[in-house]
Amino acid sequence: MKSTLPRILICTGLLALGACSHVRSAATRGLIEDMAAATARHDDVDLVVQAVPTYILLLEGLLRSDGDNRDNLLTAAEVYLSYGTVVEMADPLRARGLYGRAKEYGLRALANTRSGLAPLLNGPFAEFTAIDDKLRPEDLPVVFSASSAWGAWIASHTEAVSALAELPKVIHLMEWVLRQDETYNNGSPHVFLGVYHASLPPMLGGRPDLSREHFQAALRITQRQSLMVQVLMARFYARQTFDHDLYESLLHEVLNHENRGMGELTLQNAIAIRHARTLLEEADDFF
Amino acid sequence: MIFSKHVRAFLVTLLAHTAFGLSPVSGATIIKLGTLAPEGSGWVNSLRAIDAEIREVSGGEVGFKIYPGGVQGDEHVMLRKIRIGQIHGGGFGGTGVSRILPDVLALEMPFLFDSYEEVDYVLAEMDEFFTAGFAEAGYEFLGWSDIGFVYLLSQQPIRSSTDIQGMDVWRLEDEPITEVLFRLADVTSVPLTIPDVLFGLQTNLVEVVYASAAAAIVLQWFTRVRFYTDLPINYTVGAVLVHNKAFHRIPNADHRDALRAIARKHINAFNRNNRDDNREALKVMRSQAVQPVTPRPEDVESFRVLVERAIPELVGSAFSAQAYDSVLRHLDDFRRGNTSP
Repeated sequence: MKSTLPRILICTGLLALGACSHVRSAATRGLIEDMAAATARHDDVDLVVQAVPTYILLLEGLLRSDGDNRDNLLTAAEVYLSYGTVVEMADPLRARGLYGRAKEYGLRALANTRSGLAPLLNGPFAEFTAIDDKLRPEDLPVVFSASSAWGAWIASHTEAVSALAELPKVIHLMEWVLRQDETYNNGSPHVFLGVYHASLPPMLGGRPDLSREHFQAALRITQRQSLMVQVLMARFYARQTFDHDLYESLLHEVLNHENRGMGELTLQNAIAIRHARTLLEEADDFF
Repeated sequence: MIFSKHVRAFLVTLLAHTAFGLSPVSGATIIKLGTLAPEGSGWVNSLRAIDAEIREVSGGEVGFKIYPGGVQGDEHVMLRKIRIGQIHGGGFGGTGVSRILPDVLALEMPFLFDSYEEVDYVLAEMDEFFTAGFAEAGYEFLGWSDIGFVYLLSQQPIRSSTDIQGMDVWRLEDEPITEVLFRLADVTSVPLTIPDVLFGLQTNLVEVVYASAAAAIVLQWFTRVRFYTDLPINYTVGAVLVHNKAFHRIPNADHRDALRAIARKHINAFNRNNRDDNREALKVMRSQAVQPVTPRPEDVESFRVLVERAIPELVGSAFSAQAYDSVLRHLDDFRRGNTSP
């Protein structure tokens, strides 16, 4: 049996994860942060997508001047990850290259965090779990973003068993993030694991029971205001478990939500609403 | 950076559109297929390739609607849905195929095949036999999908059939061959569903499991074992099957023939890739510090003796003597070089 995780698994997980590193160069920090804040509050999805390459060039410039800077590496990982997801639909091969960079920068950032991490990241899984003793609570953002980039790279190489063999490490890291702070970035570790556990049928190792627990935790943490949680729960958990009623109620909840005064959730919720409409239109194909 | 999550969200919107696939052409015959394999897997890609080509060849008259990732339920549920016409067929793994036609199990007896060349020869020779068998069971047979050779994975090294005695060995429920074998081998077999196996390994509820190398990676079992016995135990296979009623709703006989040929072509290509994956997976396991344990010839013999003892119990009950005898006869022909052109 050659079965692999669907590409959408990691991408979708990532979307809600949102990256949180900060560019610390004094010259650029203010600009980037202002743009990011404005972006999140924007409700024009297409405009945002067109703006991404600008960020990429900006970050590459920073990397050229300081290639070992952990924060720059991490931010670059996140930007490549983001842009990879944008170009993937039109050009999956190109996206693989971008995810490759995202993974490389992300893992370099993580390896630079503390001595002794690099051999664990590259070694067999049995030894990898010792990473728990090395990581410290303040490593959370770098662990989160690096494992997100790593996950996206795996998801774009699902035909390669060698790539799939790295997935347990990503899941292990995301579970570490969850233990540090389950509320991190609007409960993103819960969303990631909720999607992961619902992405395979039970006969192939999927765990819808765990998926449900993670999604419920994310709903609780976001107080149901981050609509992508409902959308992903419908898309992955409700479909996997044939729960048509739950599917409909989650998606109608999204459509009925008044997406006003949502601050940084504005754009994400606008996308979630668009997504919910599509999922509802296609419900008959799945139930 | 905060903006990135929004970009990703946008992508998901796009992905959602494509995941829903093509809309049926008005008046076209759409065959709805379920499979446990997830979206993006080689297997689903292969079904999509068949769909694309038959749509092109038939001018949009015939197509597949594919439900990947087990969204139509496990294989038992899929079979139920086929009976009531909710879906029309599936890309089945071992469970579904052997339930539809138990004679398939005759191909999966341990130590039957030594190589893929033998497998390919016997499957080709028995094509008519199995096509007829599936037809009698109500299905159009569109091709075998390779799962691969199964290996023993363990926490302690297993070299011979005596090494395994006293160990707690996982067993998939309702699998007649392993049930008999483990009883005769005097091992404690612990029936667990597949999702519980990883946890079973973590908690030492089971110390020995078995799977194809690629499955051991995908199911992540390789993370919880230290050894694999470098001896392919048995070949395992799935199939693409479409219920006869749905298949014959394709009005044009040429299109039916075209679908048969196109399906075979893509499924064969999938099988070649799958075999490469299994070879690669063994390498990956070694790189992940799962050590190969090589049995000596007398150890291999100890396993074979065990299987010999199991044969009388299985032939005529788990599968028909006719199927098993045919497999053996063709295998013997191949080994003697007495092959048909």
